[in-house]
Amino acid sequence: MQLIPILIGITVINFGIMYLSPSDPAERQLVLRGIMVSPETLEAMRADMGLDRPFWVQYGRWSLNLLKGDLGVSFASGRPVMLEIWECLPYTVSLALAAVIMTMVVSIPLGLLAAVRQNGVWDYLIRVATFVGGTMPGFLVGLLLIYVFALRLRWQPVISDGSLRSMILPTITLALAMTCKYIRQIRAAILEELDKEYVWGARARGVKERYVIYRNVLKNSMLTIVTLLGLSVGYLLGGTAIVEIIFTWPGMGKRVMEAINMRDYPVVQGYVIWMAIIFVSVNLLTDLSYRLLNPRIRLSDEVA
Amino acid sequence: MISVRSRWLPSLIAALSLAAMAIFPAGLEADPVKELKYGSTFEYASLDPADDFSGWFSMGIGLVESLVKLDDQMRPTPWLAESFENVDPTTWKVTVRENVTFHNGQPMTAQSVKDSLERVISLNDRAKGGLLIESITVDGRVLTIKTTQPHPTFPNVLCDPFSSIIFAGDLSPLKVYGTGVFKVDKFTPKGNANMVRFDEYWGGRAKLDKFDYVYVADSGTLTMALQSGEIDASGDIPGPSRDLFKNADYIIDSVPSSRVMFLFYNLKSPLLADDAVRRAINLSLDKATFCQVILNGSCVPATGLFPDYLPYSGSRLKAEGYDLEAAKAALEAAGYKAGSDGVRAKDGKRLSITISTYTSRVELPLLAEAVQARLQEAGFEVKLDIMESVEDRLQAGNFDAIIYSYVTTPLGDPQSILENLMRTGGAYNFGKYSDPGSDELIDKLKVEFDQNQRYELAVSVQQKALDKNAFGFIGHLNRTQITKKNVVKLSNHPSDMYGPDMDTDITQ
Amino acid sequence: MARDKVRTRFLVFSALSVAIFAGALLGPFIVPNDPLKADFQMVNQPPSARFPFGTDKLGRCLFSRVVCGARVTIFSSLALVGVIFVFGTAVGVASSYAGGRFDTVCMRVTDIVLAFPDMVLAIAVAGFLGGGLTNAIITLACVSWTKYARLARSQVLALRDQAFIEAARLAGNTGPQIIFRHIMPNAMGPLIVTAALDIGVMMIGVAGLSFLGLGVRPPTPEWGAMLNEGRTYFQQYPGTIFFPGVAIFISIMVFNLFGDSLRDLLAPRQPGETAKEMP
Repeated sequence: MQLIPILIGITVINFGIMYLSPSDPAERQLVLRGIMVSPETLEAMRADMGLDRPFWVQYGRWSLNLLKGDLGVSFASGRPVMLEIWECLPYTVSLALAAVIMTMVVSIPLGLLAAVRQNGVWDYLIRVATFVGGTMPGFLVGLLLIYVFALRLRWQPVISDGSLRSMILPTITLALAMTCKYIRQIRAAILEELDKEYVWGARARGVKERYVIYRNVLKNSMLTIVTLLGLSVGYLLGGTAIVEIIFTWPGMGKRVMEAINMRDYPVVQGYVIWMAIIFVSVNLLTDLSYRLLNPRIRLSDEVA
Repeated sequence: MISVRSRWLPSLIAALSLAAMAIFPAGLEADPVKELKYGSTFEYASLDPADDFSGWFSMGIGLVESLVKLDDQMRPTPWLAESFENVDPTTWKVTVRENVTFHNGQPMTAQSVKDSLERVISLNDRAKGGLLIESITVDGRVLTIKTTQPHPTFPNVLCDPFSSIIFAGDLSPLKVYGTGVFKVDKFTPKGNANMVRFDEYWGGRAKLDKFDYVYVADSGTLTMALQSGEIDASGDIPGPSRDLFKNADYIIDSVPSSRVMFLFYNLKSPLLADDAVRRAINLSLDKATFCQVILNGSCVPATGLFPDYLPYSGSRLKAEGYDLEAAKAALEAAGYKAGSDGVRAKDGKRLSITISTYTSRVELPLLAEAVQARLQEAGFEVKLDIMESVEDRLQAGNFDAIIYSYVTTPLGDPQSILENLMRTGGAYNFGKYSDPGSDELIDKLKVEFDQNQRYELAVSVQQKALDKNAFGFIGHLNRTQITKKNVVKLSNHPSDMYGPDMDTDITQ
Repeated sequence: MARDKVRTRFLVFSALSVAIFAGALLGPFIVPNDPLKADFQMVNQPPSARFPFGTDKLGRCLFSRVVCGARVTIFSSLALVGVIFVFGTAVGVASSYAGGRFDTVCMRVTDIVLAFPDMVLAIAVAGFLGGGLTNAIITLACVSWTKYARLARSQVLALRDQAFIEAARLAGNTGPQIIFRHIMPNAMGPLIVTAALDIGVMMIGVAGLSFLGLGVRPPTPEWGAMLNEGRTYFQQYPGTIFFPGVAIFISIMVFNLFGDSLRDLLAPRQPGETAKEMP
C-alpha cells in the first residue's frame, strides 16, 4: 500500500519536470499542424490545450488521462505515445531479461568456484577479471564487442534487428558489469555462509562437502541474489539506453533518445512512467520473494 | 519444501528464454533469392508521396514513378507519360502510357493520373505551389492541363517525387499502391521497408527479387554494416570513412550533385539581424578547408546555390571569400570589441550565437564543429545544438543559425528553390529574408520561357541575397554511393531521387 | 589479511588518486597545446613529438584534450559526490533525529526518488531541461542523494539507543551536540566508504550522459563526449577512442581500488554489508 504515494510522487515529479522544461508544447503543436506561429495563435493554442491553467489543474487533467491509459500524442509522429511505447517495450524488456538470465547463469557458478577455491588460482583470476570487467563503462565494452565480434570476426551482425541472434552482443554488454558485481557478492555471501556453524557441524558429521554446498549454502545465498536482483533492475533499465544506441537495438532506450533529440516530450514522459512502473513492480516482487525465501522476516512481520 | 522452491527458478528462466525465442525469431538463413539491401541514415514515417518529403523515399525504393523523369543531363524525359507538349503558355498536354498497372491490379488511366495529381495538390502545399494546376481535363489517354499562370517548368515539376502517380483511392501512410518495379512487402514507419518484385510491371521483369531499405540511424554503424556485408550499398557513408572502401571489394561512385550545405540566418534574431555579424560569419567560412580537409574532399566550395556544371552557378556570382582578418575588422567596425575571454561584446552584450544542425546528413555535425572553430577565432561564442531534426526549430523560427542542406535543382531548374528559399514568405524561407527587388525578379522568372533569360534572372536573385549576406553558403556535396562490387546498375543520379530499377542486379 | 598490507594498499591507492586529481587540476597548465585550438592543416595526425597522442578530426591535440578532459570528468564527479554526500547525510540525520512526521515525509521522498531507475531519470531530466554539463550534474545529483539519506538514517537509528549516547544525553548534552560529537563520528565510516566507491560510479554516469550527447557540448573536452565523437571514425583513427577510453578506465579503476582499500581499512570484514551496494 506504500505503492500509492510512490506512484503519485512519480507522476508529480514527471509532470513537474515537463512543466518546468523550456519548450512550449503549444508552439510545438502549432508547428505540427502547420499553423503560423504568432503571439495570437500561440495564445489561442495555449488556451485550447489548457496550458494557461494553474499547475495543479493541468496535472489533474494529465493524470486522469494517464489513468485511462492515455499518455498523449507524440509530437514527432502524431501517434499515441502508448502505441509507440508498446512497440518498443518488448525489446527492452527482453534485453533486460536476457541480461538477468545471463548474469545468473554465469555468476552463480563462478562465484561458487571462487568461494570454494578461496585464495587459489581460480579465485585470484576471477577476482581480477571481475574487477576489470566491473570497471569498464558499458559504452566502451559495447564498442569493443562490436568491433571484434561483428566487424573483424563477423560472428555477429552489426545491425541488431531485434532477432535472437543479434541479441547476444547487447546482452553481454548490458550484463558484463552486473555479472562481475554479482560474482563478487555471491563469493562473499558464500564465504560468509561457509563460515557458519551448521556447515562446520555438517562437515564434522562427515556430510560430503558438495552436498553441503548444494543443499544448504547455495540455498541460503539465494537471499543475497534476490536482493541484488531487485536493486539491479534500475541499473538494467537505465543501462539499456546506452546499449540500445550502440547496437541499434529497437527498444525504448533508443526510442527515448530519438525523442529527446526531437524534443518529443510526451514520449519521454511515457518512457519515464513506464520505467518507474516496471521498477516499482519488480521491487515489489523482490520483496515478496524475499519473504518467501526468508522465513525469519515473515515470522517477525507476523509477530509485529 | 525448500527443494521445491529451488527448482522454480531454473524452470522460470527456461520459460522466459522460450518466450524470448517466440517473440524474436532467429535471423534469416541464407536465401537463394536475389536481394539487395540498401542502407540509409534517413527514416521516413510514411510511403505517401503527399506526406512532406516521403515521395523521395517511395520513389527511391522503386515503389512509385512519376509522369516525367530527369535523364543524366537533368532534362525532363517521358516516364509514365508517353509524351508531353506545351500548347500555349498556360496549357500542357500529357499523354499517359498504356498498359501500366498499379500494385493493386488496377490499370493506370488518364483519370487515375488526374485523381492522383489532384489529391496531392489538395494535401501538399509544395505540390500546390509547384504544379500551379488550375484544371485537368481527360480525353482518352490525353490530359489537358491548364496552369494558373504561364508555367515554363511544368515538366520539371512533374518529375518531383510529390508528383508521383499513385492509386488515389484506398490508401494510408502505410499502404500505397504505385506503379513501380517493386511493391511493398513490409514497411515499418521510421524503420525498414522490404520490397518485392512487382511481376506485372509495365517495363518488364526486374532482375532483383527483393529490395530492402535498411534504416540505420548511426553512420558509424552503417559503415560497419557495409564492411561486414550486412548491406550491399549505401549513399550515406560519411566522407572520412570512404577510404575504408577503397579496395577491390567495393565500388565508390561519386557524382557532383546540386546539394548545397549552407547556413540559414534568422534575420529576426537580434544578433543575426545585424548585417555586420552575418558578413563576419560569411568571411569566417573557410570553405576550401572544410571541403578538402574536414570532409575529406567529399564536397566542393559553394558561392551560391548551384554547382559549376549549371549555367546559373556560383561562378557567375560575386562574393567575398574566406578572410578571417576582414571578419574581425568587420566586427570591430560594428562595435563588437574583444573581451578578456576572446569573445567579443557590444554594449555589454556578448557575441554569442547558437548554431543547430541535424544528424541524418552525416557530414553536417562535423561541418558544424569546423564552422564553430573558425567563428571562435573571429571572436564569436558558438553553442552547437546537434539534433535529430531541426524542422521544428526552422518552422517556429526560434534559432540563430542552422546548417542545412538542400538539393537545389532536383528538377533541373533553379526556379523552385529560389521561389521557396529566397522569396518573401517562401515555403523554406525560414530566416525571413525579404527583398522587394528580388521578389520581383523571382516573379518574372516564374513566367519566363526563354532559357537564357531564366539563367540571368536566377543569377541576379542569388546576387541580391549574397549582397545582403542573407545566407552562408558552404559547399556542394558530391553524391557518393558505395556498393559491393557485385551490385550492378544501381542508380546514382545527381538529383538523389531515383533508386533501383528493372536492370539493377546483384551477381553471385 | 595483515593490517599492514591493508594500510599499504590504502596508501598506494590514495597516492594514485591524489596523483590523478593533481593531474586533472594542473592539466590545463602543463599540456603542450590548446585543447580547443583546431588546426585544419593537422587533422587526424598520428602521434608525434608535437602531438603525443596525435590529433582529432579537427586537428586538435588529443593529448591535451584527454588531459583537460580529466578536469571535467573527475571534478564534476567529485563535486557530485560531495554534494550528494552532504545533502543526503544531512537529510538522513535530520529525519532520523527529528523522527515523527518529518521522518515519514523524508523517507517517502526517498522512496519516490528511488522508484526511478537513476539513469532513466537522468536521461529524462537531461531530455527535458536540455543537455549541458551543469544539467547533467544536477540530474545525477537529484537521483543519487537518496542512498546517503537512507544509510545515514539507519546508522543514526542504530547508534541512537546505544549506551554511550544515552550516557552523553544524561551528561546534559543538547541534541545538536549529541549529533555532531557523538553520533556523527561513529556513523561516518560506511558513509565515507560509500562516497569513495561512488566516485567511479559518478564518473561512469557523467561520461555515459556525455556519450549519449546529453552531457558537455562540443568543443569542451570530456572523456565520454570524446568517445562519442571518435566512435564514427574509430576504424581509421583508433586513437580518438583509445586514449580517452584508457583514461576513463584507469581513473575509474584507481578510484574504485581506493574505495575498496578504504573500506578494508575502516571495516576489516563485513561481507554481509557489501551485499547492499548498488550493482
